[in-house]
Amino acid sequence: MKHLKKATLAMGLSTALVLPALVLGDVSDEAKFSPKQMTDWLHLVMSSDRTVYTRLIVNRLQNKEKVIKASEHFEDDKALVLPAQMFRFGAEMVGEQTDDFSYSLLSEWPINKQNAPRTEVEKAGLAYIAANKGENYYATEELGGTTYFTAVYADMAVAPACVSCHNDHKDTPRSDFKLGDVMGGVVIRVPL
Amino acid sequence: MADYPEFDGEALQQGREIWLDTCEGCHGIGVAGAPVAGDHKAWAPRIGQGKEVLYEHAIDGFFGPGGTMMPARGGNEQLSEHEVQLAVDYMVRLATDK
Repeated sequence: MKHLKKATLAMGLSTALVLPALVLGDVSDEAKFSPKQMTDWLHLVMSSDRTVYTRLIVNRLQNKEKVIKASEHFEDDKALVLPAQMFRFGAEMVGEQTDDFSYSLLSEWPINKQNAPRTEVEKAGLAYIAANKGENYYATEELGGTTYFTAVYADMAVAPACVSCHNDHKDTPRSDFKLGDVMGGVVIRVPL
Repeated sequence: MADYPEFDGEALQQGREIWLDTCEGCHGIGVAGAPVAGDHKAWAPRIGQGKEVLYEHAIDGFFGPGGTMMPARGGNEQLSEHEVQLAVDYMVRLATDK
């Protein structure tokens, strides 16, 4: 069934990503966009969804209306998942359904060491976006005999909860984050 | 980091230091929907509400349209009300400086 899921996903991506480049009647699989365009568009969708969740769910229900909290331990606390957790769960679900692309949320200062950069491009990318706020990082890398286009986008502290959670967490390797700081990066990888 | 101007007067110089330390992180490039410093168009309607409103929003926090959120004291609880006001004054000056 995995191929069906992949087909469905590919159709969805075609609609979302290729449509601007298509003309009426053109339904071929021929790529009409660059890997950079593709990762930029994917990131735009990801970041927009996450922002909507942060603003309309977490900010509204936790901070403004004080109806329910968001918590790292959302099951025990009967709480909302944190925006970063929602993002990670989405990345895991995509990973279960396709090898066409992958994404992850990594950091030079991860609370969970599994989220530290591993490849040289990931390390260079995270260092670059931290030193050049507002810019993205793009590179190609070969992993396991396959060449990938890898893009790294800054992930910033957008709310006091991001800062306090990371600064105060018992496993944090860094405790001086401020609002607006680059805390890590979204890494999107597409095989070429 | 962008080169943010210095203005005459001790208050504006203090405000600049506070702003760089606490506010620039978001207002420098517009993180989380924050209006970018020096963007005259974005700031005009905000400044039009009067400084007392800006002070209040900066000190107490503010929920904007679409679920955006300005955290109280820019997320820096150690700032006094006066220090927040100095930072607001500097940001207003950035937005109105020709």
